[in-house]
Amino acid sequence: MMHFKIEKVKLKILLLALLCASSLNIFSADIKESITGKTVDDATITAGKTLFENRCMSCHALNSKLVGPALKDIHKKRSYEWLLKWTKNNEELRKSGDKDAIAIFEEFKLPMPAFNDLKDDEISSIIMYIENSSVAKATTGGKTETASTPAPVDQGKARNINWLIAILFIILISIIFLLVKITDRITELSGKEIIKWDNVNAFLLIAILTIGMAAAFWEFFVHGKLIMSEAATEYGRKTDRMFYITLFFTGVVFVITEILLFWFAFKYRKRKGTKALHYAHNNKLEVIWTLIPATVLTILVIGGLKTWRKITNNPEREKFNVEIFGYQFGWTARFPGNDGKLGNSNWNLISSDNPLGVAIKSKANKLIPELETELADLEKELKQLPNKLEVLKSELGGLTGEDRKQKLDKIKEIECGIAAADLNKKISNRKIQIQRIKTSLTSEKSSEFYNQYALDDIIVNNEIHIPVNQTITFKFRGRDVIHSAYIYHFRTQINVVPGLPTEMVFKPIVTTKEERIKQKNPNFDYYLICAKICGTGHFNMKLKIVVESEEDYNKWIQSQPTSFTNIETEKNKLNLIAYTK
Amino acid sequence: MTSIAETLYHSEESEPHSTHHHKENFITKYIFSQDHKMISKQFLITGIIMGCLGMMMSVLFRLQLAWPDSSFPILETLLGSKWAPGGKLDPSFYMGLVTIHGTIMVFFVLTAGLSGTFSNLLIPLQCGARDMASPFINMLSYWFFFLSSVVLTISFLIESGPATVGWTIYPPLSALPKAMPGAGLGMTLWLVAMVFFIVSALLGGINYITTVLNMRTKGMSMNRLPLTIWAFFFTAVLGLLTFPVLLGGALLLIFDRSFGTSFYLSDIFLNGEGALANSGGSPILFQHLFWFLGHPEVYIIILPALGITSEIIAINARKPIFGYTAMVISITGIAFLSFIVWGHHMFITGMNPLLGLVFMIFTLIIAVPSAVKSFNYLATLWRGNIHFTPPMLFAIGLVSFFISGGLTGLFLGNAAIDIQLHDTYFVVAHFHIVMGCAAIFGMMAGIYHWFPRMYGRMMNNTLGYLHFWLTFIAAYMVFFPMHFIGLAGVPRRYYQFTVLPEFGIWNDVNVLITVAAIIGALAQILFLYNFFSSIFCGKKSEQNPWKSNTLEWTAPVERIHGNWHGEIPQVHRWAYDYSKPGFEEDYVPQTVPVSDNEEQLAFEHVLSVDNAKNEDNYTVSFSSLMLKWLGLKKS
Repeated sequence: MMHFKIEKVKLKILLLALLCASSLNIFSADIKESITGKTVDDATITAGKTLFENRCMSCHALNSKLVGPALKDIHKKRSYEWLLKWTKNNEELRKSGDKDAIAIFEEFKLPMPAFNDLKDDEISSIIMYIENSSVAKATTGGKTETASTPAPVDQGKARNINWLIAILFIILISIIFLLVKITDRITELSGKEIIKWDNVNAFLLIAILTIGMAAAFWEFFVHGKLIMSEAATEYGRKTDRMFYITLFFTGVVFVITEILLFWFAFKYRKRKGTKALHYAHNNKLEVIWTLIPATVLTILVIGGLKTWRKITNNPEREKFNVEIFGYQFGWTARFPGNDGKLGNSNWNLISSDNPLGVAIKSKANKLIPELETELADLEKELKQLPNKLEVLKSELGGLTGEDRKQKLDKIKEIECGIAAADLNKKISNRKIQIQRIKTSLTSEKSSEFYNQYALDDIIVNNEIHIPVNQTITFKFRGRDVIHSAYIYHFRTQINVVPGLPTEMVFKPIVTTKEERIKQKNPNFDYYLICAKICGTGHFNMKLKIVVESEEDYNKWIQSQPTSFTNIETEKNKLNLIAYTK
Repeated sequence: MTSIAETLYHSEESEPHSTHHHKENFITKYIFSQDHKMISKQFLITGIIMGCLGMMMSVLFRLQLAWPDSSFPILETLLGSKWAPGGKLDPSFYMGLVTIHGTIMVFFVLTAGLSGTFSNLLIPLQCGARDMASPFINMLSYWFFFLSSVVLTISFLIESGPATVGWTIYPPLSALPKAMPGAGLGMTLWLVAMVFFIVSALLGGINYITTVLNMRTKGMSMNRLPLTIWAFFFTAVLGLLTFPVLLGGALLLIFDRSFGTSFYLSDIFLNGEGALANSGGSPILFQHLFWFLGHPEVYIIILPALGITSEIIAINARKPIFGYTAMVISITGIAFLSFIVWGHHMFITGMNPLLGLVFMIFTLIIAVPSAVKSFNYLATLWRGNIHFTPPMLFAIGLVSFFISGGLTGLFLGNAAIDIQLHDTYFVVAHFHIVMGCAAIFGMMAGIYHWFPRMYGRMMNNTLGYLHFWLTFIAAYMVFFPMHFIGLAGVPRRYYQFTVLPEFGIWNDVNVLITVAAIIGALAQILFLYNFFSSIFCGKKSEQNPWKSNTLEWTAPVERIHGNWHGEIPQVHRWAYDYSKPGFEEDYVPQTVPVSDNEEQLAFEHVLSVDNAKNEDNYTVSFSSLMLKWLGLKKS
């Protein structure tokens, strides 16, 4: 513990010394007042930062455009009320005819998810963090929010250096060309080789072999230390062992064959008066070097088979289920609640109100009229297309540049029938969806599908906690494209495929606290990230995972509000049915 | 039995070749040429241009990875403010670069540029044929490839940009135009380009197979074929059997995108609405179809390179290739096994774990023939008399890469270890070394070696040496450190390494890699200069500059239609009689008749249908040849 503390102090001093205020965990307020009208204090800004990192950062950066716009100085562009509405449910805002909202959607095309789980206070803390960072940026200059490396780059200098390097390279290449031409010319004229390339190449081969091998070993000792900290799960330890066994065999083969290759090339280089040995085959030799790799590979295969079987065939699976839901661009978790069972879910039930599509009867009932209104709106829009076309055409006169182009695009869309086809598709999809929901509500299996297991489920967005030393099953569900859930320190990975439920079974054996001490990094955390290309925000999808003792976990899970408890009536009804039966 | 080749041979004999030259104008000679030598040059130069494009893209995204916080104003000037606002690559455009780089390198450079070039050049010349079985189909093959290159390049000019969904185009991302900017029109163009490409590959492949099987000259029985031809032959077989599967997969994807079907889609909720009318499709189905081509594709890329290397190592070590039969059996084994290992790309997709077991076993088995090939290369070098020509250096480089990259395959082929390494930089390092660098080095070796055959001039050796050393060192500096980044758990296709603070430690390694990549890219300027200047003013080549045994060097240096004046030479021995005792020179061309007291290797004798030593009846089925070599059938 002592060591741990010292490290923490050291780190802080280091960071302070580098004047890297924005990467510190505790914030100092640089602003005096906020558009939110709330009092500015450090705690709020720090809370805002955490929320920003968990909820916003996968699509937004402060300074640059990612999936969505840059958020720096957003408080100067929009009002607080507008931001609240937009964050909570931007679709509604767009439908209400807000011009700014529509313009943003037109520019970025991808709609932002609705964050109606965020409270007003939380949104205002995020805004306060952005306000504060916008000011901080202005004073420190040119540093991006994501840069955890404390090296402020002087842009102008860097630019000059880039050009300098480019020019140097061009000069270097010209010199090479010149030298080559000169040597060739002299060789031609004198009839003697100036550079004996046969020898040069032979010696270079040996030199590269020596330097290359040294560099490879250097890499293993320098970079090798940075990788593969001990796995934090039971199976991770097993795969690590397989890895090291394979590394041993391949390492030996690598060293031997590469040395032989370069050594033979060096040793048997061209010499005057010698002739190569006419030696075309030797069956015994060939059998030997077929059998040796075959044996080694058999060993590796058997080891791999056993380990793979153990990992994929765990008898303890389904003991502790957590659902992880992947979407563009983030993860949401659902814990089973007190009954220990996850409720059903279906993608047809997904709405801004129920982002995971959990099977809750009242929500499904509520969704039908919503969809029907949408349907009516869409049909109205379809009917009004010719009118819209005329309006657009009449507006066209007098416009120039970007605006004119946008209008023209829209006109083209309507004239070619793309707009109508799009609307028709949406309409038919809505109809089918409504039908499906209705069937699910009225069919015989309805009560089985809308069971009470879902009612006490807990939906968690920011970070999830799991107990140590228990076999845990993450059940994955996706809703848009394939993602890959990858937890490096657990050595686990599985794809998240829409339409195909997948799962990951593991047993964490090191808590976050213990791992922090092991890594000598007080800020260390386990994260689930995305490893399969899934769109523009692919590189930013993460979910923090905290592994802790069972006690702490129980405390945490008790403190989490159940997501559907306000639907008491339905619960009562269900109880009543159960009672009368 | 009279073979087709013989009939051709006889029919042409009655009518001396030089007299029936077609009148060639500029268009029939240089553009819509049906001559295999010209078509091979067309493939090569298109491949080189595409290669330069692909390489420049890699430099662009390497800049982003090395200096994610700096801006390069020149990028904004070159690419415009939409793709590089403020001199920093846009994240979607970064994905576009990664996608198109992969597509170009895998398909356009290493498939068409490598096997297209050398199959076209060498199959007729080394087998002893006047041209391909169907010169017209051969021409079509090139022009479909050209069309496909144009369509793919054009996708950079459209407003929403090129395809951005990764070169493996996994649906649903690639099937839902609204999932990402580059999943719209850019993706459609990608698919169109790929359909043209597949047509090209099929037309080429069927031609190669037919020519090898039917149009070999007198005395050239299958067991006397140079290893290059064996490699091209199996490459063509692999392509012919697997590309149609990708075509099917791509067509279904086109249906899903444009006609409302749901082969690959189920349970999609996108952009705030349920996006599907149907359910029950499977995204995994596409992956099966894709990798059923995708894995043999890896061998379509590497086999020609290995074939070229076998030839060049034997010639420059002045030794017969060690274990000719073992080499051919290895190629056959690799070709066969490559059909049943595709699942190792999908260990963690959620497919049945039992399938994972099966695919793991086959994947690790395929390492055996690959190992045999490497050992045979080493044995060929042993006690040779090695001439360090530029092609030889590139061939040695290939063997080095093939070993290094092949070994890391053992990690990825093992399902248990793959869980952790899948889709990380370790994979990037592995396949760039084993199929990127190795195949490019094979291609370079081939270009330096057969340049005199193509253009009648020599390339400059000094520039060749510089090109080799810079590229070799840069390639290892780029890809070796990537293994460590992958082992630390950094996923591939990341725009910047900022998602976790731990990834920050790789910043300086990324700078090192980028600097090495830029050096490697600049080294290619030496090659480009050397290549294009030598076409016009290189030193005139001799008839047989490398003192090689194979038939292509008996043909006249200047390009003539029909390859040989007068009769096609007859073959009397295998292609690897280097440094044979009893001869003054250290090589014995295949056309030199066997003297009475000369010893010949057991498998070198012509294999005739009636087992007599009759060189006119040389056609023998491939299966009986294999049975004989495996000791299952007595001759």
